Amino acid sequence: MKQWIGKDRSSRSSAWEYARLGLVLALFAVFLLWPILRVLRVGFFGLPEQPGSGFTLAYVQGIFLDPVLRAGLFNSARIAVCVTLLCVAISVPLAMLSVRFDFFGKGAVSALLLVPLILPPFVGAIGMRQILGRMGVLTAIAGHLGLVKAGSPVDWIGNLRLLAVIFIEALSLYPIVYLNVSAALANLDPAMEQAAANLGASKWTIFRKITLPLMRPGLFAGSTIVLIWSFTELGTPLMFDYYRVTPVQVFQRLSQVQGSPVPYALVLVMLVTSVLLYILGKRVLGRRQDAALTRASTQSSTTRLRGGKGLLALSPFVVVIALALLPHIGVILTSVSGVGSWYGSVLPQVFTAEHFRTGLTHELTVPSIKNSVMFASASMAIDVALGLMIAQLIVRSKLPGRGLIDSLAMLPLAVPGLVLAFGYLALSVQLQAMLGPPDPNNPQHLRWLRDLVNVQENPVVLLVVAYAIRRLPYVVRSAVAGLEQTPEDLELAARNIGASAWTTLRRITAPLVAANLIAGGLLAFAFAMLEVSDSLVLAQKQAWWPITKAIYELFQRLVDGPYIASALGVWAMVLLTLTILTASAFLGKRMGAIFRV
Amino acid sequence: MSRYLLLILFFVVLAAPMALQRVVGTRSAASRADALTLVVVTPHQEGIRREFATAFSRWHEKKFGRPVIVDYRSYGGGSDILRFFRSSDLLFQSQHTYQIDIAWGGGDYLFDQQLKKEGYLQPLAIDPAVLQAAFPKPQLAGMNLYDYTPSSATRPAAAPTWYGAALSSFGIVYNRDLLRHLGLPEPKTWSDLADGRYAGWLVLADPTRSASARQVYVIIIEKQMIDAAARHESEDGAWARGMGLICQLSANARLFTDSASTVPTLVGSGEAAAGMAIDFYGRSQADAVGENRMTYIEPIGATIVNPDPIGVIKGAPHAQLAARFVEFVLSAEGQRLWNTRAGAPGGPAQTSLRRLPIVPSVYEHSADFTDKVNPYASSIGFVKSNQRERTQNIISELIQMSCIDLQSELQETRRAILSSPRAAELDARLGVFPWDQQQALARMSEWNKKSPAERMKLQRDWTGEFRERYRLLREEAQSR
Repeated sequence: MKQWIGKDRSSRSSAWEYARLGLVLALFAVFLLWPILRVLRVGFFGLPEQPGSGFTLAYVQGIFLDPVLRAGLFNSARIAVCVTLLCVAISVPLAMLSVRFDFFGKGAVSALLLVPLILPPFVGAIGMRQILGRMGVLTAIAGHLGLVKAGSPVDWIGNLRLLAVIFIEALSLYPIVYLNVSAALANLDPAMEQAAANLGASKWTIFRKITLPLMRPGLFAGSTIVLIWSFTELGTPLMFDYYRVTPVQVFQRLSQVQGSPVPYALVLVMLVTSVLLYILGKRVLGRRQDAALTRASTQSSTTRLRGGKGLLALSPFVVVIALALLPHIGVILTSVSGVGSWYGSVLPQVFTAEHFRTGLTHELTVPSIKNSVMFASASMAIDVALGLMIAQLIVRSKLPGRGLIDSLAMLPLAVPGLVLAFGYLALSVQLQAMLGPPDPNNPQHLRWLRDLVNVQENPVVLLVVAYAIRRLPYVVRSAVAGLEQTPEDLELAARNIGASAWTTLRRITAPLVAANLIAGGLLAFAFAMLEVSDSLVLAQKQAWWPITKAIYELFQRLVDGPYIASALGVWAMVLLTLTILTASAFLGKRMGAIFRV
Repeated sequence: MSRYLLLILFFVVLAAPMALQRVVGTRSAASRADALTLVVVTPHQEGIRREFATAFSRWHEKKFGRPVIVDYRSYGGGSDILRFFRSSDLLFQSQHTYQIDIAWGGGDYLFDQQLKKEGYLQPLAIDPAVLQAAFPKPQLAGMNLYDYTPSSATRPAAAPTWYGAALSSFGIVYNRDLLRHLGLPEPKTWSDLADGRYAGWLVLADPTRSASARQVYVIIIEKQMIDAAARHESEDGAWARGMGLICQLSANARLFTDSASTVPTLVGSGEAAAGMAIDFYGRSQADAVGENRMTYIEPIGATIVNPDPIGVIKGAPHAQLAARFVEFVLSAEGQRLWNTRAGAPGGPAQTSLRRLPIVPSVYEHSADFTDKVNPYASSIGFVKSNQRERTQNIISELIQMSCIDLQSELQETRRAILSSPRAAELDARLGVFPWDQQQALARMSEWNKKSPAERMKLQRDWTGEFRERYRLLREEAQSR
């Protein structure tokens, strides 16, 4: 079909593509590379305020010579590989089950599978500590069952910290693989599998030869995100006091009183490793399909499972959800527990609504909720627009440099949030310094520009950009997966009958990949609402605090801090659940294609 | 469920806090159009920020006719504040201001050794009468209560760059249930926590990331040196015993937290049996969970009290207002907020802050105080000396290299030692650091001379020395 397009139009469209490529590269240069380079520079030149700041490879070299830092890298890689494998092992069978079969309770469990996405970060740690702690729920249950002496503490994690980190990370990250694999399966043409079955292929052969290759883009999208995420994950190892992993070593050294270039060099190594992991993953999983991909012409039929078979299909969902819900349950119960009254018992001994009253009516809470909703919505809108544009360049264009964009778009996952946040802070200072002091005779001159770049007075622009950049990979990956599964022929046909590029995008491309954009957009929104590092570093003025910063500040309160943070965490969970449910109700079938509700 | 019902539900949940706040919540007082603004950077927790802002605005309006909005900036802890100023130097060169009026809280090391030395503080001379009322004596147990330089014949006293705003002390928190379970007596002083039965049950704060945590380790070492001096023994050797004690404590540690305030929470929840804590965190947590479960004590004669300062920042956009804030914090009215029960006359409106005032005269009317502790009357602390604290600039690094980075090696070694027939002898050897104070000072000057790249190598070498030492001790313990 391609040859039908006139030469004139193709050269015009490539000019259009070049313009978009230029725009995307410019955005990446200013908002991603500049801040990162400012930080990475330290890895080669040392801190500007310290003497002897010439170029040196000593810091990077030093990392590999230091047994402690080397062990950190090795452990991080080990965690990343295990978590990814575990996520795939959890998600693929569940996604297949939910696509192929209908059974009692399927709607509910498919939605509940996404619960880890709605857990606010530090609050999750409070919940897990209550459950797995030495005087926690598990200990109390063991005491009641007579397994241990009642009232005596049990160390459940003990020396199995590495295993605990892997399990907890897998239980919180599997939705990313599940969402992407489900979207891929939803786009998959059942006719292919039917054809194979007609030719006498066994179920295993069909899975291996047809289903798996066809869902590979989704699998790749989900598992690379998980791989890099778990490689750079900070919160979980910190929660289990497992310090010999690179992200914790970066964090600890970054927050040291004495500045040192070592954490920056570590970030450099981590960044390069992440990019290598990504390229490796792409080689293994992400090869583009040569076979003509057509979208499903018929809706895949589901088999209804009744009675015992239905329960059998339901049970793996229930097990995964029950485990994934543990921190949520911990948080919910903490939020209604009297201070110090949930200690060595299965349930809190005193219940109270006081923490909700204090938390929800606090003067910090209301403005920060408004801010968060505003920041998260704006950054999601940017992500969806930019993500689709980038995905089109990656999948549809033949421009040189699209591979670079592909890797650049994944970079935000590999940079620790703190590093990027400090990069933005430095960016703001540099831009303000470039503008110079206000003219005393004409203070209003360039006032708007001054305010725009002054993160201290008004961090809105930089915060929204930071949120958008950090969550861009999800949208890009899901949009790319969607485009790869959508035949280009439909777009070419539209262009051929005279539709403009914009009309084609609006009427053909966007609706076809809507399921993927919604999935990516929702992830971007949810994670932006729960964003921590950018919020803690960039939102300094109280009037602009997002909800995570408010929760963090209230968390520090003497004595009742963790309880109030839990109450606000519960509120955030309810809101995010309703966000997902409402979006799903309004988007109808298109949403259903992802969640299979 | 109908999708419209969901939508309504979504907005109900979203609007719930706003509705609730209208019904039962409180609104900040100073939102009037004529209010002035003061920008304060502080690691203080939310209760302190809110109570002082409200009280200051009221005080200012009464005295000067206009309310004040205190615009707090929060960057994290003391090290984050320092990092903010360092990264804003470029801005200062161009705009001659950091856009901050006041820094408040974070410990005297941050103010005296960092912010002041790096030139971020603006000297502020307050009315001599106010100064005299607030600080009848410039020192308490050898510790400067404000940035005090005695005037000499040739040089008049320089205006102070910081003033102590409150006092803090350090002690031990412990969980009684867990001590009973472990069969341990209640600890009285730091060295009690080195008992091998605490293995895996102690929570320590990371001195490289928390200045107040480092202060506790400095105290432990200094105490050993004071005791040695009393016995007419070498202080240098006692320094090594102090560091050795820290190694034994680290071998018992379940974890190193990044902030000192987490320690009491973990002890209260039963995650750890004991830990070292800042006074007001320890007291508040013990009070909340009940004294029969958890308690806070101060080792008699083995701790110190030190000031938590406030200071005006160079290039402050609202310099006059900043000076008034300092004056308010040092006034009797401001000082009473620290320790008066919430709701009592002259006290905070909602939250008891439970910190110790620095102005001695307010202790004369302490009927409504939450904690009946007077650091000026009781002598819980020893007299500090800068001479004994010469190594304090390198202590964090030494603890990181010998204890935190090698924690698993250290724990394994101590386990082997305690289960060996030569336990007493080998544990005593572990309890003496391989360097005495003189050697540590020599290493420190070597460290200070090196470039950051060379320091990396030095750190590797020294960590290697400690690792080798633990390996040898372990082998000795395991050989029969």
